[in-house]
Amino acid sequence: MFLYASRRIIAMIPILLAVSMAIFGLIQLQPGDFIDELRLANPKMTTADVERLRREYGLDQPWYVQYGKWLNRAVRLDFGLSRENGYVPATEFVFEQRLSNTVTLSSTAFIIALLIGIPVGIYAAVRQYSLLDYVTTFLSFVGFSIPVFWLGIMMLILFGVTFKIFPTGGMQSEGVTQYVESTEQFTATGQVKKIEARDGQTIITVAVYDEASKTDLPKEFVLPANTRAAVVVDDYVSEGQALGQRVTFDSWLKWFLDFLHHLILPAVALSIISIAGWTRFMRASLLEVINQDFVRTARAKGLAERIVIYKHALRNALIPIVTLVGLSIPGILNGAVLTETVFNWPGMGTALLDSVVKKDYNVAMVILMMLSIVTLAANLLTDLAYALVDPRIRYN
Amino acid sequence: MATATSAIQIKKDESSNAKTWRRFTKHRAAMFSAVVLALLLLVAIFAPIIAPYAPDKIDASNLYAPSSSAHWMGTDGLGRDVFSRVLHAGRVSLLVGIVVAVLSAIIGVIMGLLAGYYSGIPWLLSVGAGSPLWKERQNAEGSSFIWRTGLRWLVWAGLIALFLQITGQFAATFSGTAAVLTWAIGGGLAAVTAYYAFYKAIMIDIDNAISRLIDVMLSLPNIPFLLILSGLLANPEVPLGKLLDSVFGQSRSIVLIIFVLVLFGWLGTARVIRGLVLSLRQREFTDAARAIGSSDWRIMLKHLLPNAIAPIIVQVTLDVGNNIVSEAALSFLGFGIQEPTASWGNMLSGAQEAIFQSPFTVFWPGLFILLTSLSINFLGDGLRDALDPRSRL
Repeated sequence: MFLYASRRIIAMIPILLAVSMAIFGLIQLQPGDFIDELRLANPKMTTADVERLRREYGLDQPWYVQYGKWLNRAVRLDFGLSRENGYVPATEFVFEQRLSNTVTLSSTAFIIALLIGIPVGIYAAVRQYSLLDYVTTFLSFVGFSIPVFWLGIMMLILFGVTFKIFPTGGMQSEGVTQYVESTEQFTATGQVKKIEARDGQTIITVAVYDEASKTDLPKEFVLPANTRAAVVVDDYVSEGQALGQRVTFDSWLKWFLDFLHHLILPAVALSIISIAGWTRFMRASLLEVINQDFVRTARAKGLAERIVIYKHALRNALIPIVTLVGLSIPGILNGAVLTETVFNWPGMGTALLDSVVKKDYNVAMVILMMLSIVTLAANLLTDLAYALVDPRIRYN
Repeated sequence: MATATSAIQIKKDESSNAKTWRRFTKHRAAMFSAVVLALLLLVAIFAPIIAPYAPDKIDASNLYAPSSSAHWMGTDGLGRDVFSRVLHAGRVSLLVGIVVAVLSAIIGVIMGLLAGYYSGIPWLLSVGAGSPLWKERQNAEGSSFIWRTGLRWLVWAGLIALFLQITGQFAATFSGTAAVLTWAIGGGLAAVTAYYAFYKAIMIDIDNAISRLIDVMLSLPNIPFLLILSGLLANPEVPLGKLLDSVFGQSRSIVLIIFVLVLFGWLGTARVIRGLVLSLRQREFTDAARAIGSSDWRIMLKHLLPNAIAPIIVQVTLDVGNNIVSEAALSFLGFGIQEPTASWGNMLSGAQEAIFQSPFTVFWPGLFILLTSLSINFLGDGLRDALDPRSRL
């Protein structure tokens, strides 16, 4: 098993290489590069300048040579900067600013789908061929068929525009943060030189221009306890600006409720398809168990129907579902592009779409490579989990 | 006389087609869906006759008009009649859905047949005098052996030359040890390839190759990948884009989206067919066909394929629905069918602005997508029950 797993992991390397080469090649085939944009921005650039810059950045090389260089940096986890997001490293932008938003949205949708899909599936199986079974079957077909972005738009129109119960997009209302500013303020104007911890206190040193000596004099401000500095080194601060910010329960709660308010619509829209899926899986799995001999035996020895279903049948029927739930967890990262776009949710899906539209391809490369790795890892986990669950499967 | 024979006629067994038809008609949702789909198709085909206005007729004095007797579904942001656009969009969406499903099925069937039939039987790509296969192939191929071997060698020589050229370009960007190392690795790989191509033999298991290709393509996140691909091909400066432009003109975005969707569309069918063929080729009728000297292609097309037709029909049906939804998703994001051609998806692409102005503008196209895709799913379910009664979800 261990050997098999390590062999599979090694086999992922060529697949990832092929995938990255395909994506990189596609992107490089796009005509134009960022030198063109520099040239548009700066008309004084001569053709010689352009040629020299191209040579310096290696843009005059064929795409596979550029791919080699990209790969050389990528294996050291350097994926370049994001041009459209203040030139922060693309990995930092994706992992620190976007990943958590997508995970929150998708995992909420995932939990909603399980909480509704599983009980409905059980009920439909227990009452097979009842009116409710037909209704859920029909609804799950609707769930499979409905275009998720259209459903999202309809929900926006109904709850956001007509009834105004929910906001029409985004993740946070204007001006709502989880911080309150401290009452202590800067009493001078200047540039922040350093922020350091000393004797259990945080000290902010500001260089204040002194008229008399015509030089910058350091002035220290002590942050109150439980407060986070509201400024970073090199910021310019002015008199009356708050020293720091802190999280109070009230401010946090206000922020959190606002966040939930924004989360509900996209999460419900995203969960609809999976609800349909889980209902069908649960129903099929339970029906298969209910028709087995040991369930008939349980009934024959006079057990109450409730106990037969919930204690004997359901427990067995849940085994494949639990496996599936476990295996769907990596999928949480995948495929929320449409929902995020409709609800203007600042997650990876919108980041990806923006980066393609604005030709900021470093971000797209990071996201696509991450998604591929997650998909491959999930496939491997699927196979391993089957081997753990089913003793007839042996890998060697 | 006639009455006598009919009296003693034994009731014949129902033919299998009749049985299938009976099972299908019992699935009421599927029957109903078939009627709905037929209506949708008719409406799409006769759209130019039914539609009260031209789909791209702009009326700047009548933006976002509500439903009225003049405009049944109102007008959109450019004052175009939504009802006429929905009808015309149906032509595009249904056309894309059906064409993509059929093309994907054709590619998927070919790939699946090749992978399943030749699984474990490697194809010879090159052979040299140092291989034990040399003599064997000489006998098997007879007089054509010389030119066949020449052709194989020529292809491999070309590949190795190309590889060396790339190595050279690579090495030119480095200096010192890195350049030497690049040459060493590239040259070494080329030498090993040459040894196997010209002296030993190179064999490839086509099943392995196709299955790995499917694995890689399935591990690509497909919506993002399709976005990049259609963004690239939609660019008129790209050579392929230029070609598409000159050949297809206005309708190039339709051709483009068909191409992009087919690229990922064949994977499922190929897997299903491969699995079926793997088991079918063990059966006696395949051995019998081979024994009477049928060619591989004849066995695949006349003996294996007809036995796999039921899952193919179900798959194609369900694919039509999925393709319509995928097309709509890409067009909604702005990477699919381009204006002024209407599709159900791109009618939704301006939706976020329109929801405040006139919600119903975006209601209708989506409703048609839902109706089509729901009917197709029910129809597919009914077909599965009818054609393949043993498989059930």
